[in-house]
Amino acid sequence: MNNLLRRVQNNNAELNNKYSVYGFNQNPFPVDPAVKPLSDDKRENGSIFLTDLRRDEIKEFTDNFIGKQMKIGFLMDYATYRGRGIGKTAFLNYMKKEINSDLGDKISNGKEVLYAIYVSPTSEKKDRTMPLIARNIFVSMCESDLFLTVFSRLRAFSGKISEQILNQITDDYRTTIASDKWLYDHNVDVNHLNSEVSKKLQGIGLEIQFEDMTLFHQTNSYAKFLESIRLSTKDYYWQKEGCDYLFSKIVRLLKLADFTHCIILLDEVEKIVTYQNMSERRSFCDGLRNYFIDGTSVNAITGFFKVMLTIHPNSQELLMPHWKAAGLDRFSELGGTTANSNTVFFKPLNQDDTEMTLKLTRIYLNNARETESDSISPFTKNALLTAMYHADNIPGKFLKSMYIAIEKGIDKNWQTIDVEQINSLWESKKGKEEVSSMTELPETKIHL
Amino acid sequence: MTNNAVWPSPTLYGVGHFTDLRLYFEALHIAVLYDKFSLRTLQKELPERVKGLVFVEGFQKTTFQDLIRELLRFGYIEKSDNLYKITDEGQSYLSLAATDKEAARDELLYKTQKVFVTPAWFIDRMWKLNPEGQGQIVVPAPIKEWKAKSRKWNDNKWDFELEEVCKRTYSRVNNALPGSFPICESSWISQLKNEYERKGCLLPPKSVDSSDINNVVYNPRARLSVVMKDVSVRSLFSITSPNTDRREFSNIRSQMSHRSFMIWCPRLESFGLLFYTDYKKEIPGRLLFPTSVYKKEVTNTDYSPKIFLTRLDGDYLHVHTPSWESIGELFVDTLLEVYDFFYNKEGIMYISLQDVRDEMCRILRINPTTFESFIQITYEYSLKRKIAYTISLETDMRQDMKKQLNRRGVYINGILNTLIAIKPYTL
Repeated sequence: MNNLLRRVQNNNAELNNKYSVYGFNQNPFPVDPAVKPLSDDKRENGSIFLTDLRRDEIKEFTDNFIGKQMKIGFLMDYATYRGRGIGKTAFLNYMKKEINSDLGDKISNGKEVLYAIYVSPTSEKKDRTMPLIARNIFVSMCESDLFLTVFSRLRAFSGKISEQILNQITDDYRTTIASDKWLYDHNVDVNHLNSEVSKKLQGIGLEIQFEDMTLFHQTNSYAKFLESIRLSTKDYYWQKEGCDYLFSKIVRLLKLADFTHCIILLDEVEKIVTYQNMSERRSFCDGLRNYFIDGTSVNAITGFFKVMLTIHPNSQELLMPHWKAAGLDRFSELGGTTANSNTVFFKPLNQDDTEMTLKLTRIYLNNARETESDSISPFTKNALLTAMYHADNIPGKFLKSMYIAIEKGIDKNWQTIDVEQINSLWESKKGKEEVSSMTELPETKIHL
Repeated sequence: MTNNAVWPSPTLYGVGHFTDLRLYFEALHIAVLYDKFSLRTLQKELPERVKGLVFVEGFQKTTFQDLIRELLRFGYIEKSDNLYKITDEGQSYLSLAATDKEAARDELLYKTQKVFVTPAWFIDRMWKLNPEGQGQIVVPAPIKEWKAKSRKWNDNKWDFELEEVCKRTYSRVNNALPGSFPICESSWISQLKNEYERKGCLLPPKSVDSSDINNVVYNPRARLSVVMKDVSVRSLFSITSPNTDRREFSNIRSQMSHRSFMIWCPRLESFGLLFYTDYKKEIPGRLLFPTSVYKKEVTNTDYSPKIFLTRLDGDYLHVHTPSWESIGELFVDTLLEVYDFFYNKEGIMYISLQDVRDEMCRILRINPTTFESFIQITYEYSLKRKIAYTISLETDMRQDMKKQLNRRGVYINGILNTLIAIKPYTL
């Protein structure tokens, strides 16, 4: 065959599945223990989340953040001394999914209509000023289904769609209420509906002219809506008008769709803070105060956005003087005695809680099994506890070592993976590691 | 020796707040100059005389009183009409110091042992605590990467963060040097907790304006650091023997405090009995190990016996003072290994000579003076092409070393050297 036409062979996955020796259809553990929210792989996108593991944190989040008028909160990582992989991103993504699944109905006991946005700062050093952080937030909003939900709610609350049709809407808004064709098929006057929505948007300063739908012309009003609110992502535009756009116009739009709050889960704030110089840190804090607490933007006035900053003690130290100088400590204390009311403290797993290690393992093993079971095969209980010990009770490190154990177990034909096999993984790893502060010092050469 | 034998009680409790043994010499010199002198004379003259010394801790009010008290107990001065004057014994010490420094140091060690009893006991205790590690001990301090945020003075809550730092510190020490901190982790942490909470109930120091206690803040790192030293010193150097749980002193006043510990380390190092460092990157805290050992009589010339430092079982202390002939080759090999270790770790050619010195002293169990004379010989060997390496010694400082100005220096030919680089050379 000509090389030009060569493609990857479509192997029969079942036949070539090397993991079947352990009864799995794939390696149950993620190759990279970092959450990739947009990945389709359940092992990596944060879908596998053991709520028991973070019961305290979930409670703190709900109590401090949902139930109160808190505008700025913190997720404090207390495990940075042990390395990364404690599970902050997984936690934030879990909270986001929980909130968005019913627009915050359950978590707020029906008192609020919420939407949560997960934002991870880019590694670009320039993205450390408030306008560019605002752009980051807006891009995350666009990547999520927030605007689809907004558009659908605007249509649903327009009074132009009958109750009977509204009841037929499925969770897939894109193919139901947001689709012109679907509405047309259900005998809804799309042009009339669009004009009603357009009128409402005009009321908050958003001019959107939807195209008329005719027998001969199919339209896509949602695409038009999205196109109209999407801004150029160019730095210049955002530096000039970005903050006003996000914190006033977008807030008005979300409020129009009857949301009570939007929660911004800002991960890895150290990526922003570490690269900032003194004046940028000060201006970042001033920006937070201006746009979230007491500025002239619609958000500051209504307290619509609630932002949760993920920090660790090092970035806390960097931010502290500027936080105080900006007067933010009166509204949301960064550490200190009253910080408990606005901070979720994120801790490593409890070493003594062996059952939790087993649960965490089972949830991953079951994801790769045809039928769920309580078995932890091929591992033994002691092997799992040893692995968790070696991993310093950091779930990310633990999962990575489990991944390696499975791969090595298949290579070496280990029937059972016990303490000895787990220890061998860590010993070989130690050998390769550079001399670090954790290593034993060389022996003395003189014996007195 | 009976099983119930105890060390003799010291005749003086509370060691003076100074660590440089040259203060005795200078004070006696003043005594000769003035015939009779007062505390005020000492206060006026002494700082002037020691100004040129490389590093002398700031004098405190009590330093001069302590110095006079110790000189009186040593019998070097006596009281005369509310003033002090030098005795014959003091005179002979001065002349010995002028002619034979080694002998003068031994004389001072003898006096120190007689009055305080600490030198012989302290080294014995170190060996008892960690016999397999040749008496190597660590008094921990919180791990360096912990950046603590200041707290209100009364906020003495023992929280997760503090507990976590203690656990990390403990495992760091025991990973780097197994057996060097022979205290049970849980009991240590529980003692730390109690002491930390107790400290929060005390009043702030007088130097702090505490009119409104709510405005007084403290650095948890500093507080935990003191607490760790307090608790660890109290446990390691208590008056009960770690082996038998029997009292080693009949008097409870012989209990060692953290303050005394901090003074005894440099003093005993000046006598060549031990080595200590606070700057080993792998170890959070102070590492100390004896450079001397209790033995029955030995014929090996690598040891200098101190027969006046006798243990309860009759063995006496031998200070490790090897000759170049005996360990010169080993010294050069070890120097290359240690240099490579730091070079691979830091990736910089010029390595801190003080770091190299600390590690060399640890591996070879030698004191800094021996290191200085041996590094000088090695340097000369490299100049004369007697070894296949070129050694460069510099007096400059890397930016990151500026913080360590107070650290004991390495003197080669009387010059403070700070950096070393070694490169292979084809003979």
